[in-house]
Amino acid sequence: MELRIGTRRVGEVTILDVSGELDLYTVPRLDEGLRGVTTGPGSRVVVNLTGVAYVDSTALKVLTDNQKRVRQHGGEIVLVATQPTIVKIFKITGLDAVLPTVATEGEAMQRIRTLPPPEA
Amino acid sequence: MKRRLQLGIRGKIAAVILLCMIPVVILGVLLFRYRNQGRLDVVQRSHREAARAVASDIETFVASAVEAERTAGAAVTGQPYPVIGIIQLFASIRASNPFFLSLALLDPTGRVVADSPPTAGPLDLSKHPVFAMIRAGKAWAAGPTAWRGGRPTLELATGIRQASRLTAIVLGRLDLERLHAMLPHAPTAPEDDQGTRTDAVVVDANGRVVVDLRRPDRDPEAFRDLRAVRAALAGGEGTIDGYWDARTRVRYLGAAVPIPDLGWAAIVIEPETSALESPRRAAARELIAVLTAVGVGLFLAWVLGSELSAPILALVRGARAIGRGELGTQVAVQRTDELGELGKAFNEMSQRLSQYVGEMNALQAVSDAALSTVRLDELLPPLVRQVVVALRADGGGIWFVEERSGDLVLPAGFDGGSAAHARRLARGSGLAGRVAADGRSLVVSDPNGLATVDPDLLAQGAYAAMGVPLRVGGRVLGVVQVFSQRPHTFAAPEVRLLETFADRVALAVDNATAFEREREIAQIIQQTLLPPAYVSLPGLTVAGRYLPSREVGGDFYAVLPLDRQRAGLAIADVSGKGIPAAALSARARYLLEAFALDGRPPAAVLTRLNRVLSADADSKFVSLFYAILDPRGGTLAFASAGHLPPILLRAGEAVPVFLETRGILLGVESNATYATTEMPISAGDLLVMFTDGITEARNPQGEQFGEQHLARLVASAGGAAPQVVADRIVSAVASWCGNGTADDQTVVAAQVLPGAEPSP
Repeated sequence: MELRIGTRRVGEVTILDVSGELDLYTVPRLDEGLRGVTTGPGSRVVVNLTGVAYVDSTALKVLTDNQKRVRQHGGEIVLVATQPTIVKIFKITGLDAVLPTVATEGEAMQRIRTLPPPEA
Repeated sequence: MKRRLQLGIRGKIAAVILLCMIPVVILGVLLFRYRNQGRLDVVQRSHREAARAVASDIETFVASAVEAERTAGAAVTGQPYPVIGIIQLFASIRASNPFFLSLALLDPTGRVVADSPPTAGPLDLSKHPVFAMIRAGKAWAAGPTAWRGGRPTLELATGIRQASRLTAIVLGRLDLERLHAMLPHAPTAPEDDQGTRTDAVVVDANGRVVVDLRRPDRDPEAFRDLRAVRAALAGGEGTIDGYWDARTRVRYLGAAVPIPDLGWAAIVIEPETSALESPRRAAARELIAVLTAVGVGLFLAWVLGSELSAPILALVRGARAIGRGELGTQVAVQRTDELGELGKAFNEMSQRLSQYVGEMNALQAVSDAALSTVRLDELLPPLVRQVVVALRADGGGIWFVEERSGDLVLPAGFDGGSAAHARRLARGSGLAGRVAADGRSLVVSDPNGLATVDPDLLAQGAYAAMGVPLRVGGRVLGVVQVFSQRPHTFAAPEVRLLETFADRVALAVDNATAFEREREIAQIIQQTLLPPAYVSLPGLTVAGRYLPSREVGGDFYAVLPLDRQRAGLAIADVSGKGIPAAALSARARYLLEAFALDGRPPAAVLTRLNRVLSADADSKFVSLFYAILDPRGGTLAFASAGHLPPILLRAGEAVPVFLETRGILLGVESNATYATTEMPISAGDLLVMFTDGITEARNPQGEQFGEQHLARLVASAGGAAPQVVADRIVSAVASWCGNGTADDQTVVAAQVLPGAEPSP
């Protein structure tokens, strides 16, 4: 199953719509996509994983590393996931502590907007 | 789309022909206009000629009147003639020529000698304007026209001379009312039709109408102001191109010519419609001819376009078919012209393309294979068959250089599938042996050559053969050879194709070898980490199963005897594959052992372990579940670093529980902390720990094995020994996913032995 990544912008926030399977072979594209939209300081990104059926450990690694990098520059990545298996993976691995995971895009937007404004 | 194209090509051909027709049409229009002008000229010339005829008739009439006057004058002046006789003569002349209203004989001074009809009293006409002209020497002179009782009249004076001396003058008054009867050359008979047809008109020096042949009630001054008439009165000829008669509402064409003797003008006019009727008819005929020609041209353009476009459309369909991937598509263009050539070239191209793509596919298959991790004995035989087909050869094989002996070995099946046993060739002997020894491609194109180079091949029915070396970095790994059983010379492109094939096979072989080596190393590392498959501790039996995937992953488990009554159990999954994952596994495994050895609580062990692993610059994730089991104390303490919750099936219960607890993966956050959970255990309790290689194993439909499935399996095991449970799980997963697993699979089952717990 191939991976599709679409990029939208809503105000200050970039939304990546990801669908397909995230595994060893497709993850580099997610990494590329995330790096592409988080070049400046204070990047705010919502990664919508609603259309993702499977996430493996390399994908977790890429998401976590990007979150660490983005946070160093005052930014934030918030995930949207509804698939129980995916939600569970973030919960089991404890990565939901690093990668806030919410159920809807609206919640994600609300959450990301409560962050202090980026220091230019 | 198709339709548009059809119109396109025909339309274009038609457009080209139309473009070519544009100058023809322009030329035609110019010619047409020129010809129309010519026709108009003819009409106008005929009008002028008719007018001249009228003028000439008037002159004839005047001349005959002059002649009559001269004859009469000469008769009475040549000898003494009594006045009464003159009057009688004149009366008789008038009787025979009714145009003469009156006739008078005047002496040279202008005095009337005799006149008919007689006028009362002597008349002195010496002031009459015509006298001056006669006296000046003119043979005759006409006065201005005069209307008497509405009838036009003309005074005509003729000088009678004897020996150039003026002896008398005859002055006649002519009645012009019936002048129209004296115009035999007029273009039309005198009749009254209100002027809708050709008409002849004579106007006097003032432009006033004297004679109008058709005698419509036309204004006598109607023609006075026409430019052509003024020109004629001035002595030149003129063309009337558009005289509008408001009375009849008819437009006329015509001509005016001078009548010089009188200073009058003769006019012929013809309604434009009738004048242009015949030129128009001629023009219409020509127009119809031109349009017919254009129509025929267009029809021919269409026919020609269709004729040209049909093969082009066939070619387009052919090209589309090729575009869809139907290589080798042939088009039927049965023609002898360039389009036929194009069709032939297309067919050849299509066929070559098909052949070329076949070769490319054979090569691509090797490239793909080189990247895959399939075993060589599965990978290469089909490739041999493919390259044999691509080269249209009859057989072939891949020989390998045996490292120990240097001999060449053709493993069973590596000739494309027919040979059941491996064959062997000494280095330097046979075609393959020579290629391996020389490191160069070799082509043998005839049976005589084969007889000396490779009698074995000849014995297999080969007629011609070629071999190319499998080389990686200058080292010859083996030889690819193909042979043909029909007369055939392997040409340079075929040798190149086989060489390219060989290069890729060599790469695949090298890759596979390297991969195999790496796998072996990783597996060795991994195996050293694993405890024995079955461990018996005081009060505890532990059975572990570890199945490495094709690319070895980073699973490990550990059984750590802590003190006389406690044991540490751990299961972990390091992200990534191959040697790096195996190396990290080893590191995590030994760190765990070191931190755990003094029996500190699981949470403390994980916190320390995490701190150390997080310090690694490019650390990977490690999920780890660590439990301390105290069978005698009846307690289980555990903490998890992002690992899948193990299953606990309590003795005598039907439904197992998952040991869920929070804790982030090791290596993510250096200051993460973990919590230890404690619970009682008792004899017969079964703890099953596993990695995601178990629960995420997929069947051919892509469905995961799943935790619930595993839980049911554990529940159904009810009371079986840990080894049995572990084996059941492993075989259930194996039959779930058919063949090949993407990830390491590890499962550890531990059971508290009865009698281990303290007596109450």
